[in-house]
Amino acid sequence: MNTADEIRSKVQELAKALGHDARAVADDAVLPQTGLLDSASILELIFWVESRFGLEIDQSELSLDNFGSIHRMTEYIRARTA
Amino acid sequence: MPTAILTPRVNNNDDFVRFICAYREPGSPVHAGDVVADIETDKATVAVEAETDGFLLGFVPAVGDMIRVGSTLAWLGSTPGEPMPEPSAGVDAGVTAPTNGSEPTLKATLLLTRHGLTASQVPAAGGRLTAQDVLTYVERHDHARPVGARRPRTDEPEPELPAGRRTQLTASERGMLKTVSWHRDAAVAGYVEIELDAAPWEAFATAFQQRHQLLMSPLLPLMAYRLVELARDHPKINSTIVADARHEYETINLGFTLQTGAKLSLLSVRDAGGMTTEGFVDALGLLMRQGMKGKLTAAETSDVTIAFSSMARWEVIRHVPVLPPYTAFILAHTHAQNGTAALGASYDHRVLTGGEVAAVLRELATPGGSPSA
Repeated sequence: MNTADEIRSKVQELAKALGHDARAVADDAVLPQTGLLDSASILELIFWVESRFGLEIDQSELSLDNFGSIHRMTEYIRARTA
Repeated sequence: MPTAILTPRVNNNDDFVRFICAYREPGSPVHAGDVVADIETDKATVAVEAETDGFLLGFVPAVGDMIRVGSTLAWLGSTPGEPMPEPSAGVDAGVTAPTNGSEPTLKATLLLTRHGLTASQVPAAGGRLTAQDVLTYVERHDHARPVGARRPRTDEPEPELPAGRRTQLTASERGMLKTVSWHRDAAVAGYVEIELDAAPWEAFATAFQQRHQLLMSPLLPLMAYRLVELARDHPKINSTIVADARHEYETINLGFTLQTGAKLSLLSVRDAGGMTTEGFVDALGLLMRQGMKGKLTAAETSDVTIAFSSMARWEVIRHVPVLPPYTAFILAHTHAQNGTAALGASYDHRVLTGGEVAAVLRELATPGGSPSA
């Protein structure tokens, strides 16, 4: 499973916990605008990224540019772990 | 060679803590990170973890003892039968706390006043007179109960129950037990609720999010900050009852409920009244992340003076939150899938009337405080 697949799977899991079906979510969909995840779920997603990829993410890096979509998250992780 | 598990410091003000729970029996295996014991002050309960793998040889103090920070709490060995080292005069000195009429903590002061006592009447188990010392004294002397309080039910005989398995409560579960017990035994709780038109708040939060390029919706932090602003204007909602007086807090420490898995935490944004909107949103965001990581300090979960609780993510149509100890107002926010939204509040009727609370809720229903803002 590549990084994007892992993130997509986690997004689906978090959305499911809120009663939403995120199987059709596109990689470039702006996650906060999809209504699939609330703020707490996005925080859980960030926490998962930190744990899974061994990253310490500064508060100032929590932006739409870095984490707004599955694609952007994948790029951010790739840059940080390169 | 045995390895000591030392008693950690819980907060800067307490040189002694109470050993309240042992999770392992002598001889049992432990792994690094396993919780072996709980210790507490009157402000917080903290789990003590093993730092290495091994076998628990035993605890130095007995459960219930007051112990000095830095003293040996327990010993780990490489085999289960290893003998525990003799107590050393240096590290283990002061395992039992000194007793004297020392300076009371803030909570102890409040309790002393509520029970009509003075600090010199109550023996301190540790370096300072704590709330636990006062409660212990009150229980032993059956002293007058606080105004409006029912008798605590801790002295009820244990009920006869069908056979079952017992599990010690975790530190956070015991914290919840304390909170619920205070709500039941001390506060005279009421609840009122108004309908909420969610659209103005959502528009306000969306504009703020876009202006500041935020990843997460700031809706709940902004509503919580509005509550802080209202507490500045209405000090009664940021107060509690002490004896027959209202104690209005000088600072506003905003409590915010955070659920992570099955664990419910109350984050404390200290001195929120001195923050800007942006500063508050940042500070709460940081605390939420710490909470997710399970890395909250005692200061980040204590001394709440007013609180905010939202169950919008669970899409319930109503929830009636429990008042955190020594508070008079906790806001309840809901927003169900069918569009129904509500603002409610549990409040201490000794401090506030339903009418006063309803007026605050109406102000809170609109961002900025008035429909034109």
